[in-house]
Amino acid sequence: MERTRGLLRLEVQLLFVLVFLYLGFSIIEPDIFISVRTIENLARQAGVLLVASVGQMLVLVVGGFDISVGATAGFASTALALLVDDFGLYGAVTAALALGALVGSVNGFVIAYLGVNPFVATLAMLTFLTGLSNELSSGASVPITDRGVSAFGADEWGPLPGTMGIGLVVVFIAYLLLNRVRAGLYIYAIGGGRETARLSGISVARYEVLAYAMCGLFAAVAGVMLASRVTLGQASLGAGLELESIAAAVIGGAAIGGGVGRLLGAAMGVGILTVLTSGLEIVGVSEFARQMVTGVVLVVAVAFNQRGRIGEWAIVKLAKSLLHGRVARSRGP
Amino acid sequence: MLNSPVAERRVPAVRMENVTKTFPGVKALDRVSFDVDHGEIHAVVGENGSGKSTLLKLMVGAFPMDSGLIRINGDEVRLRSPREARKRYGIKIMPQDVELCGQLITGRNIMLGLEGALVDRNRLSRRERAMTTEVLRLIGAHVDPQVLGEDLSTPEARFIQIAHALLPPVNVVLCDEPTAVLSTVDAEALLATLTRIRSEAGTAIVYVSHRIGEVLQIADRITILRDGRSVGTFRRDEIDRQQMIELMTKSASAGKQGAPSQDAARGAAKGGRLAVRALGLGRSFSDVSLEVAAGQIVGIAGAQGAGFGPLLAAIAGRINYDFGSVELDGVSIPPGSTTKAYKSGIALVPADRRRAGIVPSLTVRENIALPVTGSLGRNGFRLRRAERETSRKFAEGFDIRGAGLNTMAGNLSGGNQQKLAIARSLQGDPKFLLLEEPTQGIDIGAKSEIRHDIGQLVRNEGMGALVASSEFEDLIGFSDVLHVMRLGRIVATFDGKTATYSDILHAALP
Repeated sequence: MERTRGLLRLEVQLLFVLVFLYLGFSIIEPDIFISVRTIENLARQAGVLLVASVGQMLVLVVGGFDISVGATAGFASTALALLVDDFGLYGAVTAALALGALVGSVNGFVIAYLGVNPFVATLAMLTFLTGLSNELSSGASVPITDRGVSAFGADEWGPLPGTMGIGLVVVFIAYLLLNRVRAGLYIYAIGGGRETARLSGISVARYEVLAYAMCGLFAAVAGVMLASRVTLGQASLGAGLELESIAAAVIGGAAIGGGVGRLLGAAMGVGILTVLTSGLEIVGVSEFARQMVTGVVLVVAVAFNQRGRIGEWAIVKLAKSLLHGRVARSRGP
Repeated sequence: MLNSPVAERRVPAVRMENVTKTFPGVKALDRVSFDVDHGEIHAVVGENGSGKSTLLKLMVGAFPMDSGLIRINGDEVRLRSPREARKRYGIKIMPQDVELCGQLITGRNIMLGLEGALVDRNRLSRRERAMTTEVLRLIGAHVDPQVLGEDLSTPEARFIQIAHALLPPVNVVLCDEPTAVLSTVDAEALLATLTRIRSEAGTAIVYVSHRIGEVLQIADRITILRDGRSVGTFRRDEIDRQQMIELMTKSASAGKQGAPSQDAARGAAKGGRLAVRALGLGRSFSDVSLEVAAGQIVGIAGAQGAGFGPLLAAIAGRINYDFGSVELDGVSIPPGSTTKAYKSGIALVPADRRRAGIVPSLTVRENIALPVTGSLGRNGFRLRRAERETSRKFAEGFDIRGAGLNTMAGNLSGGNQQKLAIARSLQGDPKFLLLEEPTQGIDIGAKSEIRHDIGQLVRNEGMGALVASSEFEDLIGFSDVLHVMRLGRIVATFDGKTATYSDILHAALP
């Protein structure tokens, strides 16, 4: 009970950080930030990352991670663009999503049944998919001829930007999976105590594959949304999503190593990361400098995430030694 | 009732006939027969490596056997996985490690593996609540099913594991060293619970333990294994402690203790006196004062959670303390720095062997040489020959058996891992050795060897030793002075030679 409250407190803290960031940027650039259009743009941006991060959180909770989500998104966009002429829009979208789920299942199979380390398995998948997408598209971007594709992210969904609408649907599906069905419980149980789960008669490998398959599916959803916005398919369309999704989930409290993670936290992480990077872009910080910030934020988030383990000690010790050092120096002659 | 009534009482719940299992290079079990009845506690005892764990693992289908057969309620079966053993035949194992899924609520931990397709992760349905309440009532545990698994204490988590094992279908419960991580007090409660479940629910219980006393207390029958063979099965009244030890170890010498004579030790003393003065840390311990002289063994007995763990950690600088001081020959050692304590000559052998005592993924040689790799090298390069010689000397001195210097430390038995941890801590040439639960979870033979080794160090090298343990019997007759800790304070002090088990238990009970 106490712990649940603690996690909620984390999300309140994150909300505070988000508001603080937004207010900060609003003070620097009030004309841009205090406007509905900016908020809409941020939401449009965040929708894609939200979908990828929810998938990433599933595999983080089960005790792994997936660095092939960006490549999977790119592959899905390429497949959509190539198939849309022959299968029609809905057929092509369905095929792209199914291929994403297939990619995730292969990741899960290689990791759970063949015992390959998640880093190696998904790095290999990243490389493979990038090659495959470029092979199929002859290394070029493929325009999507069907105008209707804009329904999958580019258009508005009522008052919401399309990506955010799709994002909320994905969050709802993930909520049902994680909190309302047996499979979700087992995903938490496996991440928190593999051996315990195994001895409880849970077929651990099967649920690991499920988590990776869902991650692949959601990565493909992200890829379709990106394709919808730029009306083309391209291998590199989702580049960077893998690290940003891990960062968002971890900022939101998901533990690398498994067992811990909440959707609301991940959503907050997405919000913070989006406001931070877009905000820096708007105030004129270069793309390269923004990449540097993302890297630093990821490490700081993981360090704070280790609270109660090594991280707190390291940080507290560091702070204390700095303080002591300063005190000692100021006492000197 | 959690267990369906058994029609024919005479048919054993599980019977294993002439079971053989070979691992590469080792015959783990050699034509062993074993059976357990409903409503019976059948204990399996034996030293490490005698085949106890293999026997349990065959019974849950963790791996196939080479030959022999298993009958469950009279029918021959083939167990292909723990999943099948659990779901189809109701054979549950309570593993040695106390591990729950920390982020799940207790109720979910109890129900794990028995859920319907739709579940609420953070709440129990009415049916699930009824089932957990019923099983918690049966074992007499008072735990809120809504509390997170990681917020439970070790004994509570152990009881939750029992509850988990007792949900239907339940036929047989296999307990692998269930009290190894429990204090004497908590172990008593667990034994009482198992006895009651046996009688009330008619469950068949297989009980594997190193603690002979508790086996004699609860078992209806006792099977003794030695080197993968069954030495015999006895009713409890047919055998006594001494006979059991003899059958387990082939010789009666295992009971010998390495108690050093204090006077003899004084001569070789490295000199020095470790004084702990009015040490206190939050709610962990308070106002603890004690002294250890060179050539002396000082014991601290207490239930788990009595505070000796944090106390030793504080003395060794692993954690900080709030009050008091630690002095070596009148010079106080700065708190909160393992480096400074280590350099002053204080070495800690922690209870958490696999995580803090040794590095499981390094070899025996590398483990021993770890603290001195720097000084054994030249210009920053490691000198393998020097490492090898140093480590060989220690490995021989400690008789680390069944393994070469290049064996991975994680593959050693518990007793040998403990010896390795001690050997490693000696590398800095410490004057005082702090040992936390040095005999936890290791077999009787290894226990007496560890005591013997500590005695040797104190007698021959003139070191001082501070030994804390929740297994009181290991301290009696071994330590010169015996303090008893309760709820973070020293509540009694005995002469280690004359203290009795009941004296200590009486003082240690909260």
